[in-house]
Amino acid sequence: MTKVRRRYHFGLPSVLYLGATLLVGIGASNAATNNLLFLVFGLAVGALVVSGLISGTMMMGIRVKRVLPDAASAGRPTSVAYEITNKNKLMPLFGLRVEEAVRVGRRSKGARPTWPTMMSPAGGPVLHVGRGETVRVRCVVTPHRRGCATFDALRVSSGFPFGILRKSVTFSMRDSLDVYPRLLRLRREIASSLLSQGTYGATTVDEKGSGDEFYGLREYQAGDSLRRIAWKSTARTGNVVVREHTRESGGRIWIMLNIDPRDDSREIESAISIGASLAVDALQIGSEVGLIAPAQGLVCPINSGSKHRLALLSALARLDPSAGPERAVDGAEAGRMVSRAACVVIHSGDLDPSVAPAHARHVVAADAPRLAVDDREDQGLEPATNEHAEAPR
Amino acid sequence: MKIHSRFLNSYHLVVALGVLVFAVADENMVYVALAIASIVAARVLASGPNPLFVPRWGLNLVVVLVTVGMGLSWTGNPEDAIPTISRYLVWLQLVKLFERPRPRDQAMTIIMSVMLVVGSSLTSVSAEFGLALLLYIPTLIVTLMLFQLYLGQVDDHGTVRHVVVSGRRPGADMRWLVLGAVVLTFGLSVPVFVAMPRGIGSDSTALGRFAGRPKGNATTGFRDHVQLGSSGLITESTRVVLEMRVTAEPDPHLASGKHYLRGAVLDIYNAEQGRWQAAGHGRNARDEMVQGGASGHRNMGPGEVLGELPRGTTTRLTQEISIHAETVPSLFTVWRPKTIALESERRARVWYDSYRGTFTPVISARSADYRRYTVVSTPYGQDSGREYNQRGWMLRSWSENSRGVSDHVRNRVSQAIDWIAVLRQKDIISLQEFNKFAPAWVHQSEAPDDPTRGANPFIEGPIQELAEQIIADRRIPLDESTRTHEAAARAFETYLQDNYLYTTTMVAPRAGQDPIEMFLFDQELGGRGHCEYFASAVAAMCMSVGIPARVITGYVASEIDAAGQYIVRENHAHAWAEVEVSPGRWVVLDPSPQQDIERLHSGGGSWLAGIRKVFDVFQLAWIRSVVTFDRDEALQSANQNRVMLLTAVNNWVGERLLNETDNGATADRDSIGAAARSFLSIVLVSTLLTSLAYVVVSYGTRAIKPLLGLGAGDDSLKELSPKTRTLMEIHDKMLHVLHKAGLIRQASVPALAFGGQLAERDGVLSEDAQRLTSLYYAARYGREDVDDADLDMARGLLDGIRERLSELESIEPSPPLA
Repeated sequence: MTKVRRRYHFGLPSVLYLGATLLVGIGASNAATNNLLFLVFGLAVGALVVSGLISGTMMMGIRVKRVLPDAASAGRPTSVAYEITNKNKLMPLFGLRVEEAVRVGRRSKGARPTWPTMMSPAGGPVLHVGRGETVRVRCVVTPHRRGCATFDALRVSSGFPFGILRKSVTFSMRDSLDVYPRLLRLRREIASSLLSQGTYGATTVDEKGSGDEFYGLREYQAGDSLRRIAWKSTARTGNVVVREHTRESGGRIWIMLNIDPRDDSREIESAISIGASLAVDALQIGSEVGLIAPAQGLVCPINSGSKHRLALLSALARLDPSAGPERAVDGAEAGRMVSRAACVVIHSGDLDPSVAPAHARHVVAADAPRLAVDDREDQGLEPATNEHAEAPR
Repeated sequence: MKIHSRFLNSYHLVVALGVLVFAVADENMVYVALAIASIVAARVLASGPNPLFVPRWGLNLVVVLVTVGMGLSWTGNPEDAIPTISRYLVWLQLVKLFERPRPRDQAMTIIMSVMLVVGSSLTSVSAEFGLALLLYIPTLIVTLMLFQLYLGQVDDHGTVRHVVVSGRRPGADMRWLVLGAVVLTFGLSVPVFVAMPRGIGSDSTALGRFAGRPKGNATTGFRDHVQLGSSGLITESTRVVLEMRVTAEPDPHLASGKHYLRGAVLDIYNAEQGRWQAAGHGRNARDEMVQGGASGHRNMGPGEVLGELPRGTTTRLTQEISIHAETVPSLFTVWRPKTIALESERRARVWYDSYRGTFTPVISARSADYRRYTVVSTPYGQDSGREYNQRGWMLRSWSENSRGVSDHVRNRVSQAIDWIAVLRQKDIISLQEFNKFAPAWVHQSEAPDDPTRGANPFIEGPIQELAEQIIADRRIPLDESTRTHEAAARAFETYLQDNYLYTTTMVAPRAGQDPIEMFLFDQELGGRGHCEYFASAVAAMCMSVGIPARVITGYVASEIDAAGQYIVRENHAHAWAEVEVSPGRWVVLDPSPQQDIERLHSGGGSWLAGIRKVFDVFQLAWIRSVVTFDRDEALQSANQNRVMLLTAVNNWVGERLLNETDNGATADRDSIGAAARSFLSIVLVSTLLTSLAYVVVSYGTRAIKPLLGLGAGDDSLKELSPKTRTLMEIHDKMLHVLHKAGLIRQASVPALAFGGQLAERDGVLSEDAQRLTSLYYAARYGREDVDDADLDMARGLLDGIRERLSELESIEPSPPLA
């Protein structure tokens, strides 16, 4: 059952208003000849009560739902949606603000949510929700670091009608969102040189493509290159036929993260970003990719496909550089695993060739700017906006 | 719902109304004109693609200048702290209109507006102020509500984010909520207003000490003296001063008609100053002899009746008077007052002037003690037990000395007195001879002169010549022993009415010129004047020929409301004269042209009078329920009438829990207490005003725009045939129907594309809408002729859309389009 906490917030406007009302009341009580001050005082008190009454009644039937994307990437905008339902049959909702809250209450137990450390506050305004209606507000947030963003509570508040009192309803709503490492746009030549390591891991795929190995023959079709005509077969069969070739595979590649928790955290994150970017690029060209971070005990066996891509990114998102040595993979074992395929080792600190076989290529985190084509994502963190409000359903 | 523009409209309106409230309180409408001009200028500058705003440094400079100006003003007049601060707030608000709108600054401006109104409530309690306040409060409520919505759409710099996440029909929901908030706010203010304890401190400790006495409820129309010769125009305010209910015995008809409410009796004229004033109070023999009671202070307890009616009084006039003024300068009475009872819970002091027949409040505690009172008056010279002869002798009052005498004997004595009077009149018997054999309680004595009366300044001069000329022309004997004073006085009255014009414009006399002589004789400046001149002239003419006379100031009560009460306004203030036609017998002379007075009091044309009557209703409610509201009295009234929930709960607790019996349960449960009734009227008026504003806002713009030619600027529409226009109307109806169902076409979406968008909701709906829109396009833009068949088809499609919408509505609520 969702835990709900309702409360009134007394801010500066409340204090000012109450102070002024009190002053008028005292002045009125002391005045022997001016009844009008009593009227002003009465109106001030009336407005205060109406403010509490309307905002209190308004917030009674409110329900919210957070709709998170499957995953997000650090440095890339992602949208978070909130569905607000007004179950109240009498009172419409006005002037709402939906926002992520850290806790439902001070006494809430459990770990603190991690989203404040990873992204700017999400939320947005809602003008109106009619009786029995549901509206969806979508806001765009840009996580500025990878990790697992956990959400604990969602707060809906409103200063409506007069802004004197602010009423809020906080819903306990636990959720999580994997934020993948920042993906860099790697320079093609560097990526190619890192990923193609001669015979290590080179394979072909039993599919038509533009590789060197023969795949089969077929009839000539308009547009086919004359160079691909198989003249002998044409002469033998009497029909013009052309050669077809197999597609080249990207090969098998291990991406090894040599991360030392003692290194600078920015370098560590940079190393993870390079690893993630290489993995994504490699998978994109059809390679089979495996991921290993021996010191942190992370091993993702070699595989390909979109599911594997998500698995790799998810593993990198949750990678804890300071994971204890008890989980560490033995160095020799790691060397044997990566020896049968191409290998790129990314070092968070100084280059250490001894951690990988001789054929491995090495990259240090400090090289990230040299590797990336246009690292616009590094230019700064975008604040949360809600430019893509959705219409109510 | 265009929150941004609506908020700005409302924001500017609340600023303007706040300034209006202040201007009404300060009685200076220049500020309203200034506010309107500033708002218009600010809106013009801020409109268009390149809005202009005054830079921050410029605004700061102006604010500094305004602050310095306020400081200097305050230094010059430290007593007027609140009006000075209010003026400062007005200027600050107007200056801030020209800066780039940011929510923070707009909130500050709204707060300043509220402070301005609160401050103004310390300086005025007039009904006009109340009306302005009743307009301001709903506007403020709307503005605050819109401001909360506006805050969600702009950032801290006032930049609109253009994000509107909204459900269906936010406008309709908002209107109902605003209406509810206004009614609730006013409704909740009533019990607070009633329940708040009054008079804990004094004005010296209240906020009011910084504001001076509130304006708007003083009896500026009445003065306890007459100052002739001032130039300028008399204020003709229609503010209600008092209400009076009159009953007469034994002839009820005496209660109807016009009544002269005496306030001040002025019997000394200072020719140098042109001023009539009352002679000083003083106990004198004449008071006791002529009026049968001495002047002096009287202490009155709650419910106590001061004075007594002389025995044998037959004709009496009872007046229940309720004064609405904040201060009570005089206890106004009709005829000669004999008894008075104040409706006050405290002891109060009253000065009784038996010779002049006036009661004057001795205000030591508060004027509220004198606001309601009941007076019983008798006609002049008809006091039973006194008879007067031509020589100024009188029979000593025997009413006090004849206790124990039977009615039979009293009647016989009365007859004897009549007979003796005749003998005395014919000088058959002298005073001394009469007193020799008459019983002590019918002894006669000669009425002494009034020692308080000053020297007669009119004994010589042109006024006397004129008076004697008038008497001679009318052939009234000049011999004092044979002429009748009343005939002479009436002759003067007629002369003035026939030969002089009434005007409310006062003209200053020449240097050294007596204002009365100016009025009577000056060819250039004279010949016209207001009631004080007429009254002064007739009194002067009477006094010039030896007839005792005095000027009376007060009110003329002639306006009767629906409840049969006299309503007396400030412009009913009047001056007239009283002339002593025989010892102790004073008659009223009103030489002012009556038709002019009545025209002045009628209030002008019929529609103006109608508006004034409507305003009167509000004004009375305002005065009764707010300005002169007495909490203790209202609670007592409510308690007596059993209309308050509190009383009911109290009774229930007493009966059920404390086993008490309610002996007073027979109170009239049908009547509603006066206070509750008054408050109801205030709430009703505010509700009506809010409803009116709602109607104006909702439909006014739509109705006014075509009249002003706005929104109809497309001349090509005029060239279209009537059938094409009908088709356009059908298309508009379709959009309206869809809009009501939450399917709103954005302005940027063409109508046909909108029809396509409807497919998201329903295919049939989309198809019908597109077909109807195609017809519309062909006729409007393709200039194709529209025939009846097209119109029938369009109507059929519209009906189909309606039906489809209702079907869909029954299935599930329709979501608006993205």
